[in-house]
Amino acid sequence: MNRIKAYIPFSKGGFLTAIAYRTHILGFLVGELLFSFIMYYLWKTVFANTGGTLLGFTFSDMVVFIFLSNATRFLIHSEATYTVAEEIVEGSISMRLIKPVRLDLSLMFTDLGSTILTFLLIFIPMLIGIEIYRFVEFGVWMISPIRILLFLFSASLSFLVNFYFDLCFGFMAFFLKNLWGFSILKQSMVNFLSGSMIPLDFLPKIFADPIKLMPFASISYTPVMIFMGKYSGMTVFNAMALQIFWVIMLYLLSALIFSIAKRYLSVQGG
Amino acid sequence: MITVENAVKEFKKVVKQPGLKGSVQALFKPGYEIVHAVSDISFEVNKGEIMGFIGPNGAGKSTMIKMLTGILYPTAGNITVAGYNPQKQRQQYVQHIGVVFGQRTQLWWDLPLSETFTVLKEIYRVQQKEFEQRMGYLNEVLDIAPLMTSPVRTLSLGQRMRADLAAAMLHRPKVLFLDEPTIGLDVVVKDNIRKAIANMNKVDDTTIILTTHDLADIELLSHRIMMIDHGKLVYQGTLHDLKDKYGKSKKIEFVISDITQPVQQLLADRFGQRGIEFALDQDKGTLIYDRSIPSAMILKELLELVSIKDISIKESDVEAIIKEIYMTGDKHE
Repeated sequence: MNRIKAYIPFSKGGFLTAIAYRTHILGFLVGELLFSFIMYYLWKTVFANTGGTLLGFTFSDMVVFIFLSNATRFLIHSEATYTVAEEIVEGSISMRLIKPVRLDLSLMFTDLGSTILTFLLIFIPMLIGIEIYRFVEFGVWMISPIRILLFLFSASLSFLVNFYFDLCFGFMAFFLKNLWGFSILKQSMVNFLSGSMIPLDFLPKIFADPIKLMPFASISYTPVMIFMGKYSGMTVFNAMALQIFWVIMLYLLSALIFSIAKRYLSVQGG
Repeated sequence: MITVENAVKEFKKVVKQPGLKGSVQALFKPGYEIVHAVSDISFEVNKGEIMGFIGPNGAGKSTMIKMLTGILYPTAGNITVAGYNPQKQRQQYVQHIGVVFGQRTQLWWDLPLSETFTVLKEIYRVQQKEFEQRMGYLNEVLDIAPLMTSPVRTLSLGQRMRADLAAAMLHRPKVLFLDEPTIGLDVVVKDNIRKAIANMNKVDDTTIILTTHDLADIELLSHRIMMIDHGKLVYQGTLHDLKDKYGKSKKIEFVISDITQPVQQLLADRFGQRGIEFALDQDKGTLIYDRSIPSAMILKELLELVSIKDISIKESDVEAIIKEIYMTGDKHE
C-alpha cells in the first residue's frame, strides 16, 4: 500500500543535507573520537588496577567495546525527536502533513539518508580500525564475516528500535510544545541504559537483568555484544527476538500516541 | 467540491498572570483559557470556483484553511473536500490538493530547486511524460526554469513564491489552497502571481481557496468572498453584492475652475435629498451621491452648474466597506 519508492527521495534529501553540513558531521566525529579516547584512558586505569580481566572483559575487549559502542551509537542516531519537536514548535509540521506520505516513514527515510553517510564515512573506518587493533593485539586477524553480518542485522533492528523510541518522544511535543529539557533527559537515559557508556554486565545483576529487557539494551548493547562474541548461539537469537519485539511494540506505541496527539496539534505562529 | 458544516475549532491556551508570582503560580497550577478560533462556520464551494477568505488578523482564516487541508482537527462539525474527510483520510486526500502557505515553504531548503521537483514527482507519483509536460506549463506561467539550479535558500521571496506555487501545482490538484500567497511581494510579482493563479484556475478548472489581506487579490481573482471575523462568518457572497449591500453611495472627485451657484441646494432640488453631499476644499470638490442615481445624470447637472478642469468617478471603495465591517465587528466585543 505504501510504495517505498516515494520515500527514496527523503533518504536522498537526508544524505544530501548531511553532506551539505559535512563540517557538522566532522565536528561530531572529532567529538566522539575524543570521547572514545577519554573512555579508553579511563578504563585503562581501571584495568591497570585490577589486572587481567574485569567481569569477563579483558582490556582489549573493553577497547573494542568503547569504540564499537560509540560507532554504533553514531550509526543508529536518529533526528526524529529533534525534527518532530522543532517542526511542531515552529509549525512547519504542516508542510509534512500536506504530503501524501506517512509521517513515520518520511522521517525514517530522512534518517536513513544520513545513516548511509555515517556508515561510509565513520563506521567503516572505525571497523577497520578495530580489526587492525585486534590484529596488533593478538597477532592474528579476528575478522568474522558471520559476526559482522549478524552485527549489521542486529544494528538495523537497533536503528528501528531507536527510531520508534525517538518518534514516541518527538510526538510528546504535540502536548508539551517545547521539548528541549525533556529530550536532554531522554538522551542521558538512553546513553546510560543502552549500555553504550558502561557494559550492562558491569551493573549489579539485579539492575542489569531488567535493564537488558528494556528497549534501551536493544538499541546498542545487543549488536555490540554480538560482534564481540559475548553472545552466541541461542543468546543471539533471543536478543534479536527481543529487539524485534521492541520494534513492534514501539511502532504500535508511536502510532497510538500519534493518533491521539494529532488532535492536539495547534500550529503555533501562522 | 467542498462542504463545510458547522465547523468549530477551539484551542486551549495557557494563561499566565504577570510577574514572578504569576510565573510560579503557572508552574504548579497553570490556568487555561479556551480560544474559539472558528465558531460554527458552514459553506460550500463548487468545482472551478475561486473563493477568497478575508478578515482581520487572528480572525480564523488560517485555522479554517488548516482544517480544510487536514492539518488541524475540527473540534466539531463536518468537512468534506473532493469526497474525502481531510483528517481521517489524510494520506489519500492530500494527493488531490495543493497547498501554499505564504509564510512557509515546501521547497527543500538546502538543495537546488530542481531537486524539490524530482522529489515531488516521486511523492505524488507523476509519470515522466506528464512531469515534463507539466513543468513546461508551469515554467510558462511562472517562469521557474531560470531558478532551477539555485539552492532554495538563495532565492528571493518573489522567486520562492513562484517556485512554491509551481510545486503545489505539479500533480494537478483538484483543489488549491493559498494562505496569503502574495504576502510581502512587490507589485509586479503580485501581478504575475495573480495572473498565474487565474490561468491555472482556467486551464485545469482547479478549485481555489485563498486567504489574503490584499483586496486586489480578491478583486482580481475571487468569484466569491467569505468574510470571517472573530471566528464567525460575517459575510458570504460576491464582491459585487458586497458593494451593493454595504457601499450605498458613489463619489465624484473634481477640480473646479469656477463656481458661482449653490450646488448642494440645486442638486438636492433636482434629485431630492437622497444622500447628496457636496463639499469644497479650495478648488477640490467632492460629491457623494446615492448609487441609485445614474452617474451620467448627476454628472450632466454638475457640469452645468460648475466649470470643471478635471474629474473622476469612484465606486465606493471595498477597502472602506471592509474596514467599516471590521470596526463594527469589534464594537460587539
